[in-house]
Amino acid sequence: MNRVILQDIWRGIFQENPVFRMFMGMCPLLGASAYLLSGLSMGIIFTGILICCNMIFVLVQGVIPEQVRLPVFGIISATLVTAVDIILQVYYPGMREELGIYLLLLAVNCVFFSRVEVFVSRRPLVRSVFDHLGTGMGFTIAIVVLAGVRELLGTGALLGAEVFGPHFEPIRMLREAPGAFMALGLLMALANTVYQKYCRLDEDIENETGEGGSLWNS
Amino acid sequence: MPDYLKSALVFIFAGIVGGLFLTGMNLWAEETIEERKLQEDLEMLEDYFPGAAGYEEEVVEGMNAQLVYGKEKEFLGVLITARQQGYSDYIVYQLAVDRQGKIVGLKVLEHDETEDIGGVIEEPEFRKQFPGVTYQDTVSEKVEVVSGATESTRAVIDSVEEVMETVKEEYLEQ
Repeated sequence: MNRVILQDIWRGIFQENPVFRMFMGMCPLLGASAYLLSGLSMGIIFTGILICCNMIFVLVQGVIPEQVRLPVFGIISATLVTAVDIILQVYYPGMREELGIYLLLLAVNCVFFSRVEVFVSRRPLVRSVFDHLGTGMGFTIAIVVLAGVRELLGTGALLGAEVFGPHFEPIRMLREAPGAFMALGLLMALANTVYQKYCRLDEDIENETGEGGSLWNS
Repeated sequence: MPDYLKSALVFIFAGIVGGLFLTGMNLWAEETIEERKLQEDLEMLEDYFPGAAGYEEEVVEGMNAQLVYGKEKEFLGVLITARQQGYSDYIVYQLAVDRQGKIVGLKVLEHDETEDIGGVIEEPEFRKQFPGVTYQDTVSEKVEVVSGATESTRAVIDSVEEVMETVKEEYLEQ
């Protein structure tokens, strides 16, 4: 059991990383990654909403007719995202300003919908929670790396603390949208190299354990 | 019950539940958020009008005006947020005028002027010329344009002159 759970988490982080392998969740990734702190918050919020959303969905899915599965899931995720937005307004108004519209756009994030489609409807609740934890962590790692690179090279500081000293000329473009795309592209290239070298194919894992491999092929 | 009806009912029910939940959240958060906004606004007004304790908002000739009151509801002055076409795009600024009709401060909120040229409108050297100018003065005589950034600074000066005219008509001659 433990092995399966670890695999569920690890798969979300590595083999099925939502950003580097599935190219999903680009909107919050690019929008909230100008600074490390906002990137980290976005990652944590993303993980929390993903887990809560799908837990609620698991509990109610028995009474939901097939035709309105996705719309109802949309309502659940939109409600949760708005609730988080209100909580941020009350306790962390500065962070809410920083994340801006990208927080509300989480309501229609395709990672949430795809995880529901491929995992929640086919696996028990506990496993799906760990799967979402893994997926969320995978996203968080990706956004933290991207935001770290952008903040470090774009402002010469990390979490607001000067790193390179006064003679460093910051690459201002990295703070803007085009820089975000370029940084992401380069990170993708790097990640792909790593995957080609080290990633065991999903089928291997499936053959070894009989379960826990990619759900996309099952 | 036919399938489509069941689907519709489930969907509507989900919407109602979500809506009620968010209504509750809103009711809970509303007060805190409004209080904070008032606090922030008062802090900002405090810079121009020491002792500001409250304000009323209204729209005057397309501009947003905040009538500032002190603790005993006495009128302290007015803070106008105005918009003016600058060299490249609109310049948005705040102008604070006290009850004697004297400018107490000017702050540029948004602009898109060339950074090292028209950008001087943001600098204290330019802005500090405004405080002290009264409604009886001609603004363009009291405040000098910055050479090299004539268009941007001229735009602000002309706009302030117009705003002062409005302030005089609306708030001072009573």
